[in-house]
Amino acid sequence: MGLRWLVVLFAVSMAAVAAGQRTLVLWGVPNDDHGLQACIQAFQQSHPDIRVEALNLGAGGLNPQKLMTSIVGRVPPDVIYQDRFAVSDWAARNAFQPLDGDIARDGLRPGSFYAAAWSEVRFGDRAFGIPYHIDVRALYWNRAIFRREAPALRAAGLDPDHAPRTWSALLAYSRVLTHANAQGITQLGFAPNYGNSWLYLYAMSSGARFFSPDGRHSTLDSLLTERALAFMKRGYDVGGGYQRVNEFLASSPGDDPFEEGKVAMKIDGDWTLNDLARRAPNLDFALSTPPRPDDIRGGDPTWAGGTCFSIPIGARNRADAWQFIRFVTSRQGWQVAADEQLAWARAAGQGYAPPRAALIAADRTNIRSYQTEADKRLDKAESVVGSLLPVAAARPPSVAEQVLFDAQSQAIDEACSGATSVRAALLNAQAVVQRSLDEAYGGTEFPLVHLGPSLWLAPLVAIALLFFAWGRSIRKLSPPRRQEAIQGSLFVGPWLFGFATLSLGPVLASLAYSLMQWNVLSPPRWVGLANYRLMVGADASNVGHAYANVLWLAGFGAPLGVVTGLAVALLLRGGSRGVTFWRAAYYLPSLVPAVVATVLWAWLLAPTPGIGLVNTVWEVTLDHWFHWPPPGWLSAAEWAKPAILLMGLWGAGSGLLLWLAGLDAIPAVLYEAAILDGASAGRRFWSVTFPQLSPVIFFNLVVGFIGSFQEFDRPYVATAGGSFGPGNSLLTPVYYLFSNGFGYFRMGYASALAWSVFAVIFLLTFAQFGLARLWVYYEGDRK
Amino acid sequence: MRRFLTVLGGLVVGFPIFWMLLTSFKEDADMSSLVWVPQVTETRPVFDPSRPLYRASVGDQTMQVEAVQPAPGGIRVRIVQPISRRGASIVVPASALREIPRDLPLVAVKGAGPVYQAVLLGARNGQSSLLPLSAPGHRVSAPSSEVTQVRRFGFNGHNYTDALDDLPPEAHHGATYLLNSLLLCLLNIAATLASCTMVAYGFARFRFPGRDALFLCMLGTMMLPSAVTLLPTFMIFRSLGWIDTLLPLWAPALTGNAFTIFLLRQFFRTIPTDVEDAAWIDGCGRWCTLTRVIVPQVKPALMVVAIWTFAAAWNNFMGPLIYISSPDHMTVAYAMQLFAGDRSTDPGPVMAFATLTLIPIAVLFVACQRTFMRGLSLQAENKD
Repeated sequence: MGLRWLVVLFAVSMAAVAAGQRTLVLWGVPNDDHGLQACIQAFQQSHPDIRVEALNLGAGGLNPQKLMTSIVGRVPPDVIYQDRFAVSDWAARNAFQPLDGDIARDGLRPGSFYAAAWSEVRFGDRAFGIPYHIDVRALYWNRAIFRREAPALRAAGLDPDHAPRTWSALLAYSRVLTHANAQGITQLGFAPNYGNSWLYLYAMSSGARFFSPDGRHSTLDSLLTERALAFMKRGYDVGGGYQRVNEFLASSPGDDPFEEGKVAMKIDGDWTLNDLARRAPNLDFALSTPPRPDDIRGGDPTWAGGTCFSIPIGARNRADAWQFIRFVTSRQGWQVAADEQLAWARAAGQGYAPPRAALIAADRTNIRSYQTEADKRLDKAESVVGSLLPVAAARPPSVAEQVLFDAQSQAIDEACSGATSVRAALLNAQAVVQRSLDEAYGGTEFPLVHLGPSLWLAPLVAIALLFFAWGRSIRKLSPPRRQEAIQGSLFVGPWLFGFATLSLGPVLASLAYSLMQWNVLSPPRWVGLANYRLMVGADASNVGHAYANVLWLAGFGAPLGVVTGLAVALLLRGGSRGVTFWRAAYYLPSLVPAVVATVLWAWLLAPTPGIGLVNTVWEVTLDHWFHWPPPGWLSAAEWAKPAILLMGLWGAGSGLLLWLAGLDAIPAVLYEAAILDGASAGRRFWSVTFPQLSPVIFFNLVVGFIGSFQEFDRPYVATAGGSFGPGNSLLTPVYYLFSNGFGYFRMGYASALAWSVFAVIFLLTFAQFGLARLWVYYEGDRK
Repeated sequence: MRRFLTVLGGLVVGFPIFWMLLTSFKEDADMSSLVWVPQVTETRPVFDPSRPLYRASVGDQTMQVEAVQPAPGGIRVRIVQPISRRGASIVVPASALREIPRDLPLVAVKGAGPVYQAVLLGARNGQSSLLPLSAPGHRVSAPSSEVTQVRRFGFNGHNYTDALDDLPPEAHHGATYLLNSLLLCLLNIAATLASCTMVAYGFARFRFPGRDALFLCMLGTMMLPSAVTLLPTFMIFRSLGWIDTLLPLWAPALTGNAFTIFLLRQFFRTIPTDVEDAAWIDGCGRWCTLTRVIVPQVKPALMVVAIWTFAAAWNNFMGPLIYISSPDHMTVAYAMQLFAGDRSTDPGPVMAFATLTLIPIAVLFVACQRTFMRGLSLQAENKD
C-alpha cells in the first residue's frame, strides 16, 4: 500500500520535472489591451519553457496596496506594468529593482527612447523601468466653430484659421467663442482643466519647477507656478466661472461636450484621437501645440506620461522577467502589438489612432504603417503629436509623485472655485507635499535600529525565565499534584503557544514598532514618541475625523442595534404558530457576509431614483409629500455613514435568540403581579422587562460598541478600497490603519494608530462599566 | 397587531434578498428599479453568412470564435466566448472549426404594411438589417425607428454564466474560490474543535500554577482589538514564507479561540466528575477520558461551535484581503469584493455572483436550522 503511493508520488514528480516550465507572473496588463495580450502570446510561443501568468487584480488594473503587500510579503510578481509616474515613488521605497546592469549588458541605448519617457523611469541616477507607451498633450480645436465664428473672431483681431499660440490669445479666443443665455452656457470657448492638462502643463510651460534640485523641498509655491494657477483661474472666469463651466461640462453624462461640438478648444492627451475616430467621424477638428505664456521662452511646450515595465524587489524569476521586458519593449514586440491593434480596429470597422510607442524607431514604424488609413484629420493630428513627442518634458521623478498629483489637483479646485486665493491654495499644497518629502528624507537624525538579534533573543530569554519560574513552583508540589500540573499545562499548551506568539508577542512588538519609523524595505529608525506626536499634531485632522466618524457609527449603531434587536425579540417572543419561521427569517440576514451585504445595499441605495430602489420609493413618497430631496447615500458626505448604519441594522437579527432567551428568563410572576397592580403594557415594559433585561442590554451595548468601533469591512467594500468615501466620511481608525499599514507599510505610524484604538476602546468600555451602576439591575444584588 | 408588525418587519428585512435575486435575473434593459417582473429578449438561432460564428475545439477548451483571415497553420480567429478571453486572436486549424448558428434578437417591424417578425442582424446609421421570418435567407432593410424588440416575461440566466465566465482562467469559473473557501472552513472547524476542547478541558479539570491568571489573560484577549496584532502577525507569517498561501487563514485556529474555550469550559464544569472518576478507575488516562467520555457529552455544543466557525471562516474578508494575491488561493468573500469593484456598472452579474456566494451558507442554515437556533440559546444560558 505504501509502495503504491510512493510510485504515484515518483511519477507525479517526474512529470513535474519533465514539464519543467518556469512561471513568469505578470501584473497590471489590462484585458482589453489587445496589443499587449498578443505580445504575451507571441512571447509564450517563442519561449515554450516559460509559462506567463498575466494577472489583473480587481478594479481592472493594478492595486498599489496589493502590490506593496506582495513585495513586502516576499511573494511579488516578476513583472509589473503600470503608469510611469509611479515608478519613482516605488523606487524611493526600495520596492523596485534597478535595471542598469541588464541595460548595459544588452547594450540598450537610452537615446532610443523619447527623452521624456526615459527620464521618467530614472530615480537617483538609476533606471527602474523600461518605457512602453508615451502620451503627450496638445490643443484640440474645433475648426467648424472657428469657421462659423470667423466674422466675430476677425472683429476681435483674431485669426479664424489658426489656433491661439499664446496665453493671452487663448483667453481672447475663449472670450469670443463662449456664448451663454439665461439658462447657462450654450457654447464654451475653453476650460483650462477639461481634458488632461492639470497644473503641470501651465506650470511647466512657464519653466516652473516643482522640487528643489536635490528633490527634498517642494517649490510648489513658486511665483511661476502661482502665475500658472492664476492663469487657470482666469481661464475659468472668462468662461463664466468655475462652477458654471463644470456644470456645463457635466450636463450630459455619457456624452463628451467636445465631441458634441459644444466646446471650441481643449487640451487633452493624444489617446483622445482614438475616441474621436470612433465616436465623432464628422467632427472637423485639428491639433496644435499648446499655447505658451506670452513673455516666457524657455518653458516646456507640453508634458508626457505613459506606461512602463518594472521588476519588483524579490522577484523570483528575474532572468525571464528581463527577457520578457526586452521582447515587449523592442521593435519586434511593438510590431506584434501594432499589427494586432490594427487588425482589431479593422475588424471592428472603426477608425483608429495608434498609441504612441516610447521607443522612437517603433513609433515611427507604427505611424507610417497606420497612415494608410484614410482619415486625413487623424493623419494631420498624428503629425502634430509626432512633433511634440521629442520636445515634451516629463514630470520630475520624486518620492512624492502621487502626493504632488493629489495636492495640485486640490489646489486647482480650491483656487479656481474661489474658495481660497491662488497663493493660499498653493501654500496648502506645498505644505502637504513637503510633509511627505520630510517623511522620506528627514529623520536621518534618528538612530538606526538593528532588529536582528534582539528580535529573537528577548522573547527567548523571557520564555526561558518563565519556564524556569514555572518549573520552580511545580517542584514545590507533591508528586500527584505535580503530574496533574504538568498534564494540565500540556492540555493548555496549544493556547499558551498561540497566546505567546500571536497575542502577547505581537502586542509587545506593536508597542515597539510604534516607537520606530520603519517601512520594512529600509532599515528602521528609533523615533521615540514622534508617531504619537504626529497623530495629535500634523495629522490630527485625519485622525480626529476618523475617530469622529467611528464615534458617530458606534454611538448610533450600538444603541440602535440593541433597540432593533430587542424590538424584534419582543415581537417574536412566545410560542405562537409559525414563530420559528419568522425567527429564522429575521436571523438570516445576519448570516450574509459583510461583503455581500454591502454590495447589495450599495445597489439598493444607488442615488439616482429609478436605479436605486430606496430613492425611487423616496422620490414618490417623502419627496412628493414633504419636498425632502432623495439623499445621495454613499456618494454624499452627510449620508454615507447613515448608509453604513442601515447596512448594520439589517443584520441586527444576529442577537435575536440571546434576547429571546433573556426574555424567557424573566419570571412570569413579576408580570402577573404587575397586571394585578393595574400596570399598562408600557409600564410593564419599563418596570419589569427593562430592569430584568438590563444585564443583557448592557452586554450587547458593550459588545456592539466595541465591534462598531473596529468597523472596517463595510467602509472598505463600499469604497472598493480606493478612497475614504466622499469627503473622507467613511474614514474609520481601522481603515486608516489598514491604509497606512498595508498600503504604505508605515509600520510605526500604523502601530501607534492601533494602540490609540486600543486605548480609546479600553477607556470607553471602562466608562460604560462605570455608568452601568446607574441603570443596570442585577437580580442577585441586595439593596 | 403584533402579527401585522411581524409580517411587515419580516418583509422589510427579507426584501433586499428578494431584490438581489430579482436583479440577478434581469437583462440590462430592465435594470431600472421600477421593473418588477423581468423580461427576456426573444432570440432565434440563425446562420448569418456575412458574420459566421464557429465553435472551435482547441485542446480541452471549447470556444466560440469569428474568423478573421487565413494564416499559416490554419485560420486566425477572434474569440467571442469565454468572455474572459474575448477579443484575443489565435490561430486554429480549419478542421477544429464547426459553424454554429447565432442567437439573434427577434424584432417586430411596423412599417407601412402589416406588422411582421424578423431577426435583427445589425443596425447602422439608423437603418436596421433584418431577416424576415416569413422569407428566410432574404435580407431586408428597414429604418430602426420602425423596429422594436420582442420581449416576453421570463428569467434571464445569462448574468450567472456571464459572472462565472468573466473570472480569471485560474479560477475555473469560480470552482477554485469555492474549493478554497470550503477547505478553509473545514480546516478551521477541525483545528478549532481539536484545540479548544483540549484547552478548555485543561482549564476546567486541572490545577496548575498560574491557571487562574492565564484564564484571565485569555478573557483579556477577547477585548484586544485585532488591529493591534495585525501588522506584527503579518511580519511573523512573512518570515515563515506563508504570504499568499492559505496557511495564515487557518493555522492560528490550531491555537484555540478565546470565546470557544470560555464556552466549552463552562460546559465542562457542569459535567459531574463521577463519570470521569469511573473512567479513571477503569484505566482510562486523561486524554482517553477527554475523547471517549467528555466529548460525546458536549456534542451539541461542539456542533454549534462548528457552525459558528464555518460561518466566520466563510465570511472572513480581511484575512484574504491582506494575505492572498494570486487567484488560485482566493476565497469566495474576497473574490466577491474584487468582482463587485471591477464590475460596479453591471449590477446583473454582480448580483448573480452575490447570490452564488450566499447559496452555501443558506443551504447550511436551512439544514442545520435547529442547531443554529439552539446555539444562541446556549450562548444565553452561559451568560452567568
